[in-house]
Amino acid sequence: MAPPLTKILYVEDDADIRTIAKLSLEAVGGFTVQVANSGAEALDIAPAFMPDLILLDVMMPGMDGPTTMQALRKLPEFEQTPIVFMTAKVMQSEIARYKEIGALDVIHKPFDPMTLSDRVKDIWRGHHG
Amino acid sequence: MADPDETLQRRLAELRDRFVAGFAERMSTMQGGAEQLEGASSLDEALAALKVIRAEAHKLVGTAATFGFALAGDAAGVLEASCDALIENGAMPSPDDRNRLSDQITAVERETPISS
Repeated sequence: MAPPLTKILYVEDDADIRTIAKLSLEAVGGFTVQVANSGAEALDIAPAFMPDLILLDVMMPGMDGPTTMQALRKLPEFEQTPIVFMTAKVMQSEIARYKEIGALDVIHKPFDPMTLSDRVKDIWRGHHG
Repeated sequence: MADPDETLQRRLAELRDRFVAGFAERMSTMQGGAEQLEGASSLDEALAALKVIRAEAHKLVGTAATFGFALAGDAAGVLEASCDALIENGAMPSPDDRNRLSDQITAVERETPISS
């Protein structure tokens, strides 16, 4: 049985998407969500928040998603934390590459605010299945 | 206690209104990038302009459909792909390239909530 998924760190530079995803994950999914507007902020926030899962936008100014993931993986407490990329680029080759470098899965943007939490739960269950 | 579904829908509607209110600014940023591209006298300037347009288009690809403007998101996706190709090409965009981008920006605007 999968352990409970309660805390999610969502990293996204677009304020509108950040707000809508947080709202959706909290109101529909019942998760506790912390947001970061950049990879650098995620690195600051993550150690205190200790998320069960991290949702990471791929294309961000400064540190992009893959770079942020690499930096997180260097912190001992996040070596194994599931990281899911979120991207508007849906090319299969890119999705395969993200998984190769360690992403658990990829969620496409735009997402439906009413079903985002279900998608996250499915990924979590699949990971622990 | 408020129904979580109702609360979500109300907040989504508020966010949608905010998104619509900010659309003119997004279009202005893209049109500014197109003007910057038109006046670019070096490859570096042209690439910088393309990156401005691409960044804004990319945001729309990820957001527009979530707020109910799927066609605007699709049009922004076409624009982003064109910018990507030109950036990857690494050459000075031709007049035809610039015209095509300009048309694609117009296509995004046509599908937006500020065009009606």
